[in-house]
Amino acid sequence: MTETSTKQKRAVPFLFALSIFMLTASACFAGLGISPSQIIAPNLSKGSHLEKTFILSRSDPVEDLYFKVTMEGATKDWTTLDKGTEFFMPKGQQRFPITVIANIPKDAANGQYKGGIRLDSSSKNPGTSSGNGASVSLSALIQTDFTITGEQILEYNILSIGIQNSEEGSPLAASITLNNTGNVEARPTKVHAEVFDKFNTKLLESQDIAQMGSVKPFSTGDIAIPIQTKLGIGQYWARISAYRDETVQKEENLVFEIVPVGSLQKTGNLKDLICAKTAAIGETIKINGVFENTGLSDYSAKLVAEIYKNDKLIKLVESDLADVTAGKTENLSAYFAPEEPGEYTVKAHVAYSGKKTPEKETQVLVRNAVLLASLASFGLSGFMPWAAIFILFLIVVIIIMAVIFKKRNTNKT
Amino acid sequence: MAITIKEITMIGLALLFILPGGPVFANDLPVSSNVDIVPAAIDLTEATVTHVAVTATVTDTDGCADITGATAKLFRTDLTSDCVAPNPNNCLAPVAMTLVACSDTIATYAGDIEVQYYADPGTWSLHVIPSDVSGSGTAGDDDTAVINTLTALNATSLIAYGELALGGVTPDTTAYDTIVTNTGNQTTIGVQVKSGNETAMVCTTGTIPVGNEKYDAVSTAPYASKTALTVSPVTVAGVSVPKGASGNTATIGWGLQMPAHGVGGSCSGTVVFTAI
Repeated sequence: MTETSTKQKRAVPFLFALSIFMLTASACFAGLGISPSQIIAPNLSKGSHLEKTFILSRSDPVEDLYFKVTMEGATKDWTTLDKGTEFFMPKGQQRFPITVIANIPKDAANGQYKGGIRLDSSSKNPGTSSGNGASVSLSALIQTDFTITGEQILEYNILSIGIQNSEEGSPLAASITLNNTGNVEARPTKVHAEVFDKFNTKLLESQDIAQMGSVKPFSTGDIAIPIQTKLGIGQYWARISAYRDETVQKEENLVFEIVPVGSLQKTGNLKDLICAKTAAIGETIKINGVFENTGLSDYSAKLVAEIYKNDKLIKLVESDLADVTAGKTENLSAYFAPEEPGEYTVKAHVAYSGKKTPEKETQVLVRNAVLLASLASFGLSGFMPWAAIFILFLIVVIIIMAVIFKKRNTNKT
Repeated sequence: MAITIKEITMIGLALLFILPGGPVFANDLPVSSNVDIVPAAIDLTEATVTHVAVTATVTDTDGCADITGATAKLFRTDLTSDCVAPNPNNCLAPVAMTLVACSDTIATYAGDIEVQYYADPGTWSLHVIPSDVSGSGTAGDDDTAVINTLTALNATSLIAYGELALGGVTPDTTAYDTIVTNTGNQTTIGVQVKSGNETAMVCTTGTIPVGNEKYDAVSTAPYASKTALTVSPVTVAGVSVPKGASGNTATIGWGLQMPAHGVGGSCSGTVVFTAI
């Protein structure tokens, strides 16, 4: 037996043991929950896009919890997760939002499609037992139920009506929160507003508003309702009614104040920038900016993201303009599909009311899809990319060593 | 004579002040409005409480200094009985709100309501009753929010089979039970199980096939009649775990047969539990 072959044989069990160590699933000691646990869309049209956010939760977040995502059933090719196929829930975090994105193919046949998204968890520290034993890990399941129809369906309900204080001379800042369950953009037919004095007895102004924004299909959002007024500084009551055709869908009596010019600040905060840490070439990456309107008045805002590779700006992507009510937090999303492998840097800010927030940045590692698939087949992609790289490195080193030893042996002989 | 008129006038004025309904001391009761629950869709947290922020405006035409407080109650909208006695499943009341600001006739109140993980899913209403020195005022329009279904579970962390001889089978006892707890608000959960790997266990030498590990809702069911574990998730027959603060557990009994040969040392594997 040659020296080379002896060393090669010694290396094989070592690699084998290492692989087994890394492939062994671990225990999870805390509970696990998902809320809500279903995504039911009864009115999907062909080619439509649907997003829904879920909260993974655990009461005892003592350690990092790793997740592997599997799509199942008839909807498996249509659904993706904003966190990718593998992600982790950090230690100390009880609640962890994840967003399911569904893209319905344009050539999908009408009908009902059911499936699921399974989130298998594991921890770094497996449970221990003397002798033979099975550790327990937990999984969360999001059940999907999509019905595709060829019809256009307008279906929505109004959840609430609100009004903020306004500065003198500015329009009144009313807003409507609408849940759109149909497959076309939705908004009330009209909004009727009546303004009363502070004793809610004397009608001062009255008007109908028909021009307003809308909420995208399968989502809940705020619609800003600007109401022109000549009211002076003081306290007032507003009776705001939202109509669908000639029927009142919701009506609320609300108190508000007209304050001196300059009293209401417009401020905002980009709280978080979230996107998948790894992706394959051509895969659509969702860049999600969690933006909070920290001011006292409503305004519109959009996420602006610059994509860099090797310190070179390669693309600029933006979210749609969204109405953000004072005190509320809104997810602003832009999308990007990388065309080459490598490490990308995303630098983003939110533009609002002529201002912009400080920039936040994050990195995305884009891999060749073939390499990603081969790593996945060994269970080595995602949250263990360095382990995979380490093993590949070891293999390369062993091959080089084998070649060197073979050359030396050849020279000796 | 002049003195007499003055006395009558004083008596008349005194009556005007004293008699009920007199115009000088008429008190308007406060009214709540702008009632708001944040967020409008509530996702509960597994096995613990979730804090829900509530706000309201209280208006009193006598001035906001006249307002003495505001009380909130958050209840399942379709509750048939009035939400008076607190019940963590469907009626969270009364919750005293805190004064945040007071200006002219308007006061702003805020509160924090703890919602248990097993609170009923569905539409809930927030009702705010203001009060002043004369008593309770008028509640304005309720706000509503949806409590989403939280599907959650916890399971005891290990199934310890101990030592087994080659070809040996675990006895049909409760020693290998897993206790499953419904830690969410889904009325009842079912449980799916699967192996975490292609085999049931990896041993120092060899592996144990996945089908050698078996389970049943009845711990003492004979090993032969228990259901073999699979790599794909399968719903455990006969297991339905109700929600609640107590009585929210179920048992799944396990068994293992060691292969007759080819296996040695200690063995370990993983079983994955899913609430459905």
